[in-house]
Amino acid sequence: MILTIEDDEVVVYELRRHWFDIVSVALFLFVIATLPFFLVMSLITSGGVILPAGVKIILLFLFTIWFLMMWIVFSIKWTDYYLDTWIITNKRVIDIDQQGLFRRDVAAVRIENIQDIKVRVFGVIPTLLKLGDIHLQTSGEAREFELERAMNPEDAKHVIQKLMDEKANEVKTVKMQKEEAVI
Amino acid sequence: MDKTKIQALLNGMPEIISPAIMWIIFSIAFVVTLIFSIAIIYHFREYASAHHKRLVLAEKIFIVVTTVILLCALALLIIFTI
Repeated sequence: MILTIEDDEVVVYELRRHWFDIVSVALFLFVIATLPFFLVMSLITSGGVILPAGVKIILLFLFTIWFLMMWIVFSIKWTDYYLDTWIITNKRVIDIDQQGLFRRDVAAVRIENIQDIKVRVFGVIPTLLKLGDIHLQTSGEAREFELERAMNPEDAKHVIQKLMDEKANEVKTVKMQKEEAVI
Repeated sequence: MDKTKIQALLNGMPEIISPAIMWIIFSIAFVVTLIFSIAIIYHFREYASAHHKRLVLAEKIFIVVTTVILLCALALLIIFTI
């Protein structure tokens, strides 16, 4: 499902998840990946355990395999993080929701169908790093658009608000022109 | 778990984990890595459009790092088998 942008459509803003999200995942996985190694090392250095001949290579091999698995998990998480995005054009807001490797939802809402934008920044770190959730309420039966832990959600809100105002003015002008033509 | 139990576990390790078992572990890890690598690289290439510019670089980094870790594991395995 590749994203297609219409010819007269211009990408105004790209909203992604905050880098803090993937950095915290990376740190957690790094600790998990290196934990067995440091555990064995601490046992050896404390003097209580002696490594028999041949065991060193076995342990190093097992640690390497473990590290490889953690690297694969991180790569999946990064793919999920990077492909989860909102693309705001002058006509639509396109929500690409990547869930793992094998599930991807792409939905779009036209600017004129957006009813409400809600931004939620909660906590000290999110406030300092400008990290928050953004929700779009749309008219009709379209689902609610949501991007959690987004980067600079306030900026995105302002961009969408501006596009909504422009669209409203456009509609107003067309209406007035039609009324003048009738008179 | 106290230190004597850990020492006993480490002493018994070479008898339990033979080169054949290590080759099996490596093969399983290799197959799992291969399957997920194909899926990840497929995503990187499929969506490497104008909106996901970093995917080309990410693919290169992913391939290099995965290959290096796999080669390290293979080298250790060969050293152990010899």
